[in-house]
Amino acid sequence: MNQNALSICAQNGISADVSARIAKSAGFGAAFDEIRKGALTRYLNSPFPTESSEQWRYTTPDQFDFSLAGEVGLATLSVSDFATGAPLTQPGLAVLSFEQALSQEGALMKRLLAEEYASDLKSDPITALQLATAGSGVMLKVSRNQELPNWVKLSQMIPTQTKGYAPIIVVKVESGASLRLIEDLDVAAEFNFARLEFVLEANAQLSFVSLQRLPDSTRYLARHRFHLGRDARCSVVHASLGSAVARVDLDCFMREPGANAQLLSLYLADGARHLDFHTVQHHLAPHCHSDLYSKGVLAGRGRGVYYGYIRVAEDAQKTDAYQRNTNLLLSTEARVDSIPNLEIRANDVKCSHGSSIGQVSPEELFYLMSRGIDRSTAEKLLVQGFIEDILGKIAAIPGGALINERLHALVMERVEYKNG
Amino acid sequence: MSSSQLLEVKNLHAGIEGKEILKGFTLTVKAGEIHAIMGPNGSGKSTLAKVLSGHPLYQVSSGTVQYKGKDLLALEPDQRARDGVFLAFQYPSEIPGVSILNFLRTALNARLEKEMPVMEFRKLLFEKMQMLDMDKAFATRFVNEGFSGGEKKRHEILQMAILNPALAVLDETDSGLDIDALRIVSGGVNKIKQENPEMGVVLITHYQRLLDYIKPDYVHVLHQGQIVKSGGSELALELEKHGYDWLQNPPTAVVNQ
Repeated sequence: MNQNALSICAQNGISADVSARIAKSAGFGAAFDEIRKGALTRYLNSPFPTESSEQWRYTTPDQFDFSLAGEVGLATLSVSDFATGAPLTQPGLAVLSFEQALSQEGALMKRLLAEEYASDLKSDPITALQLATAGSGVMLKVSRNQELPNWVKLSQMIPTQTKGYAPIIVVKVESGASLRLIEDLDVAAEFNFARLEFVLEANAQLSFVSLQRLPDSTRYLARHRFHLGRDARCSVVHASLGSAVARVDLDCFMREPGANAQLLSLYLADGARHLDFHTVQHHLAPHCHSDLYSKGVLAGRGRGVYYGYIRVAEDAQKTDAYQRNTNLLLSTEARVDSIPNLEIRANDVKCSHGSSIGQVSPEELFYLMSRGIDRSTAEKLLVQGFIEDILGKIAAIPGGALINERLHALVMERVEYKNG
Repeated sequence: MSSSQLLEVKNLHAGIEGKEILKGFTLTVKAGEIHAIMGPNGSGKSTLAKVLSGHPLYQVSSGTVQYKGKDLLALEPDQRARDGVFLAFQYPSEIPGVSILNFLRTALNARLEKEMPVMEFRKLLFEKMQMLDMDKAFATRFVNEGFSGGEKKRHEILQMAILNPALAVLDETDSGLDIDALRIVSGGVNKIKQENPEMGVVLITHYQRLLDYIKPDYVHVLHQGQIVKSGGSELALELEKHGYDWLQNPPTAVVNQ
């Protein structure tokens, strides 16, 4: 590594030791070395964001300790049956190590991480840093026309005392296949720096749930990207309940006609939690549909950020896209920023967006109390009422009933009204 | 105080946002009695309902309210309700996402010493819904969301039937109801009263029409925050005949005409 690279690493708090490890690009073989080197170059050549960068105004880069990137022990990624916990032996589902993925699906991996499908990330040093430092990876592949009806749980295990964790998880659902996947995030690494890539081929179907309930001592920075082919359908649920600081950037690319994405998110920022959800619905082809509904409950000194875009390319006519974010503030010290945006270059589309921030209505509270319900139970009922519609939508996704039940219990056990 | 005295309001002064609306209101309700309180808009009818139920925006500046021999004003709204005070709201709130079933079960369990099992509660709920001519599907609808005026009022009476209060205050439960809905709602109130003869009822209304269906023991006329006249049910007919303008003139003169 040249002196210039080292000094930039040093400026961003990345130790010479880690820098040297990045430079050596050890781990996943020669094919990945190429990708890593490219990433490192992009990282070194792009100015690191500051709190005055538009994308980092609400969650600032200094909320993450990037020096921990790459300090990764060996992680174990495995799959099991979500309902029973039994090891998974579903025919049609392959779990490939990163080396296997690179050799069997080399072209796809390159397209996702370095070429066409990553073109929008060319000047993003943070994604580049993640790629350069990634210490573990896995690929799940559902073969053509295989339909897996049971929820597959993806588990991640890291050695105790691991400070940084940077996985790359690639999911490929081949043409006509379907997958239900849940990521139950409870890894205790101080800094969790993840990249997930989902490729849905023509007519493939995916239900994906990310259940983020990381310990309060952790910080989570993740990029989740969905690439939808012709007539592919995905239902994505993000439940953000844990960590001290979490930022998820979700990009959903409708790459071919007929793609359909439903994106649902529920976040609960209580205590001093800071939860940020950045989304982009990229409409690149005509006749695609995307519907994002994000709902937040903010309590204590909790802080929420929703920042979203619907981007419609010039030839993505007949796009049908929605984006909605609503928030309920339970305390006067909680705060939320909600910034929905539209960027439409086609002229025959149906797009709308909206956001709202509200508080518990004193009239509703009084109405419940006038029936003998004590204040704290009444407040819980109102929160339950607030999240009811998104839970209903979650219940309605393919396989959603099971997820809805667990989520409802997880959220309600946490709701406590601290406003007084 | 006699043990049968359920509610005793004495010289109550109360209002909202610093504006005094009740100016020396006095009323005694014994167990089992039905009192109608009539009066024009702005006379203080709704303020009385809100003060009795403990709405946080209403302030009492002086006077006392004794309920079952206790200081009612010292209790939080939920404590009052658990102790048997019920207000049928004129404009009940919508609670999106909370089903009637969930809401009423939570409310009843708060009032009972021991939780009622779900099956037993459903049976009770459906029985009371039938009494009020309500479809079973109503139980899964969200509280007051998208209800018609009549449905809201019926839902208030349904809650009264389930919670079985010792003192029910009905705030303009008849307003805006067509004749069929009024019959169902008042029939429901009479049925509840029949099953619970010790219940005291305060009927707050603008119109005499309701009193054709629910027979009050006493009628009081509220004007500018005070009861200006009390009598039997015939007083309501006088009011209906002469209108509230009658109050501006010496009532006896008009009655004698």
